[in-house]
Amino acid sequence: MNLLPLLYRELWHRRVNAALAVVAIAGTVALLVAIRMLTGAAERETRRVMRDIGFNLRILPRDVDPDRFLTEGRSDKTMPADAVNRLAAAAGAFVSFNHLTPSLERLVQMGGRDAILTGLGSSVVGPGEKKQPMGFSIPEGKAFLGSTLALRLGVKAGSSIEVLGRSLEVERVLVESGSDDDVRLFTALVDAQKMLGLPGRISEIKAIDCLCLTADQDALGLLRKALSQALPEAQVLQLRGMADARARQRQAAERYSAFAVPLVLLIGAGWVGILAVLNVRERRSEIGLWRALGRGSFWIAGLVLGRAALLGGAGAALGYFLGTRLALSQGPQLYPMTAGGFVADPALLGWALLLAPGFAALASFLPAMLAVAHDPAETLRAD
Amino acid sequence: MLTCHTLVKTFAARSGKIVGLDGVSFELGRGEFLVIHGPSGSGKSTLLLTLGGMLRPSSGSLTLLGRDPYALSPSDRTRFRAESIGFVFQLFHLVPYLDVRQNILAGLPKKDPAEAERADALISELGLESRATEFPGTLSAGERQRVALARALVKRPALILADEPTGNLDPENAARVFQRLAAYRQAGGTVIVVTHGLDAAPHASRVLRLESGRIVPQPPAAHLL
Repeated sequence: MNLLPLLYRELWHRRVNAALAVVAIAGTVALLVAIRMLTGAAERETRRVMRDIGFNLRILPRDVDPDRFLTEGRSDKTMPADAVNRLAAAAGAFVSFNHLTPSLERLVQMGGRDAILTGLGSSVVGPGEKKQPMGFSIPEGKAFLGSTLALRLGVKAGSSIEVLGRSLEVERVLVESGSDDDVRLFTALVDAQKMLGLPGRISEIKAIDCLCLTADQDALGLLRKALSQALPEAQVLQLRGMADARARQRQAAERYSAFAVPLVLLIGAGWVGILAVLNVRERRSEIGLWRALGRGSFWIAGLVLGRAALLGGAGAALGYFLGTRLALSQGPQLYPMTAGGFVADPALLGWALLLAPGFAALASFLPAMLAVAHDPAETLRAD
Repeated sequence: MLTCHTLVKTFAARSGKIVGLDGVSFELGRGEFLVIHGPSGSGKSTLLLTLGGMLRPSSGSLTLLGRDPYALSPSDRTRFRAESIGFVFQLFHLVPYLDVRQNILAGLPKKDPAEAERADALISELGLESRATEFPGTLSAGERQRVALARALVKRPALILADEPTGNLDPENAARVFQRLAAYRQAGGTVIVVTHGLDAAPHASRVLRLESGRIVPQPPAAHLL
């Protein structure tokens, strides 16, 4: 008799044991699928939160004096605007940096006092990424005004302002931030370059550090090394508090996954393994009989491992649907900022169908070896 | 057909070494019906499984159909056993999730239409037609043993080894089993039955007595029968 029909008949005969095994595997797969989807959502949410916190890297021309830059908050040195494209094109640049955003910044007089004119270019993200741009995307001829500056000038959205001989329409007045953004005039990079008479020049590239290493792991050393290879005419400053917060948040999420996934796998494997041992114990005389009837070790092992693989396939499918359902129903409440990102991932079903039978077979390996090594004389001897 | 010489089988136990077989020697010719009887614990099942290539002796030699089964590789021994020996056990050992016909066919090493026809003939001969699609759990003890007997007979082995085949049967069913084994012998097969009683003796060509793992002199036939 062929093994497969035999496996189906045995599963139906011992359906309670089989159902428990499917539940064990489905539970494991469901938890893993839900963890994977929720971890993905946590990462999305973390990225969103971190992105909203802002850039944590400032890439400056090499001849900027960091001492003076930090004292004054800006520098009058510039570098070519195509530096951002050269950095983006450098091999491995996006391993260390992302959301490369060129800007040009100068102090200007507005309403009789200093204001910060900031021209922002488009963000450049890693190849194949669909990240939303950091900061603002400002059309040419438009301006975003900090709240204090708007109050000083007595303008609101829709008003026109004159800056360095150029007329701009106020697109938005920003909410009060408590930072120097409140006295900032944001324009398109090209407008700022024209107003300042610095065509094709930028004063810095703002970016986000992708390494997510904390200060004790010398992230800055690695960033400087990467930048020196990609853009030798620049230097990098790291806003360490923000970078550390981002790194710690990300590492905490990774530690959670690193702990939860093996734990779930271990519990699932233990459960499936125990059920397989019980099944083999219950079938001792049957296994002895198959031996007596001339079945070899591979065939006997196939009886146990094939059963495990079939249960694994059923558990994988069921677990995928349960885990997806769980994540889709609970995830949006847990991660409301990125609730729209919760969608069923068919690739996870493929992985589950591929890995769960192997996982179940692995968990049943020891019972299978016990079955193979089992002395049939022990159960067949009536004397 | 079969020659065993000073077969010894010992088992390790907490209380020390247990001797299952203690120098068993005999010869068996083709077409014989040998009954080995003895009290419980005398080593009958141990001897039967040793002769069947399922329990390696601690020492001694065994030749079955011109070969020493224990000199064969495990896979060759498995094949040899499947092709040459049919087992019948006291506890039937039917596969619980296969029906009567499937249990009988499970005894076949390969799928063969001729043997499948023979299985149907045996079902009919042993009065199991109405039970052919039933599962072992619904059968009486006598029916189960007939299924086990059919499973052993279906592949027409050179040797049938039966371990207390009527231990759980009423006299009527027990007689039926022995009659079928005797018929098998008449057709040229060889049978060894181990049993604690002497119900099979009238069908036997030879009777041996086993006590404490040894073949002992047989009481006079009149006392046996």
